Amino acid sequence: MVPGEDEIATNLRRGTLEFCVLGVLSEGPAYGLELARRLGTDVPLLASEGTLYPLLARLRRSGWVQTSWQESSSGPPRRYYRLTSDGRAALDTFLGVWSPFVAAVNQVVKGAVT
Amino acid sequence: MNPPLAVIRYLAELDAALAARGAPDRDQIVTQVGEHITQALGDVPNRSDAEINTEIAAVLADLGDPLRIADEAAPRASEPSGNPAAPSATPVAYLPVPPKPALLTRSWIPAVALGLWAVGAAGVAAPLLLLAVSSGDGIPGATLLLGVVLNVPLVASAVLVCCSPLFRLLGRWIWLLCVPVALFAESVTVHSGVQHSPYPLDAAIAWTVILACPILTIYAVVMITIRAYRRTQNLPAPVPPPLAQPATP
Repeated sequence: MVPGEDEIATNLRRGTLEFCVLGVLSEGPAYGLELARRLGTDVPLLASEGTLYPLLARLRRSGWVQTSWQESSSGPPRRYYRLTSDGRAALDTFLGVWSPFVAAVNQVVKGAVT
Repeated sequence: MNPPLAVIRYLAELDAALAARGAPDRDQIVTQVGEHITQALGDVPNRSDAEINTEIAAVLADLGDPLRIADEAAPRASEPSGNPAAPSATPVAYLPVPPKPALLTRSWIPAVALGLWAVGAAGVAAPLLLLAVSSGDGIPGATLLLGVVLNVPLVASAVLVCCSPLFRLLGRWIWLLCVPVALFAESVTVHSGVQHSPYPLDAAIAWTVILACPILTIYAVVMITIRAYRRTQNLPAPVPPPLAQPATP
């Protein structure tokens, strides 16, 4: 049975998306809707915006992100997510693995295409 | 701002789906999705209902199927599984299931009041009716005693009607007064003995009073009950708590 694009995308997201969240947060704290838009609208990394929240809960449980409330000028207070030092370390470790991994995959896949 | 019904339903579905999969952090996820909706809808004044509904539909569509979110939240192989049947650890900031109305505004209250009233009124009126149709030898003591005992449901119905907000002031007064007034009219008629009068006109008046009093009383009480029942259908929906409840980060 040939897997569909959705199935492949789901498998690729698994294990990488949480580091994408950490990557966005490495640029500065962000609130949920902002994260969802950056990962779901700007680039199609999220299957749907709602799937971000289980991921954030998992990251928080792991101690990789923490939250704090900040007042908003355009509505109710917002819950901001920020990277912890453990989260930063996890992101660095991932980046150390990711680049050679992508290079290896590209090399093999391109070889298969040609 | 109270959350719209579509949002309450969505969050309820999400909560149920998370519970079914034993997702850890269930309350946290539902709360944060609720915050997402609040922020996505914004606080723009002067929007029509149609615009708001369209916006809500778009926000919920972007969030995606609750089942898919719950799948993402399900414990992975390396994580300990939560207990699907376990209640929420902390109160969820949203009420997925609307709370039940107060006890004395439930739809069955008018029917119970009417039932109690019917039993009590029948017991109290029975001795008088027996007396009216008897030849003047009086009525059995047991029947009289039963009539007195059946005052209890009559009093219970009066208490219920006075306490329940389903019954308005005028209805309460009619309910409270119609039995004693009817009984008084009947007893005066019976004890005056006019129903046994040799004059046909007097007997006709007596029987008119004897029959009209209970009929009018029953009509009044049934109408009050129907009005009270209709009020249960028009009660405003219980007000859910506000959409966003930031408590602890």
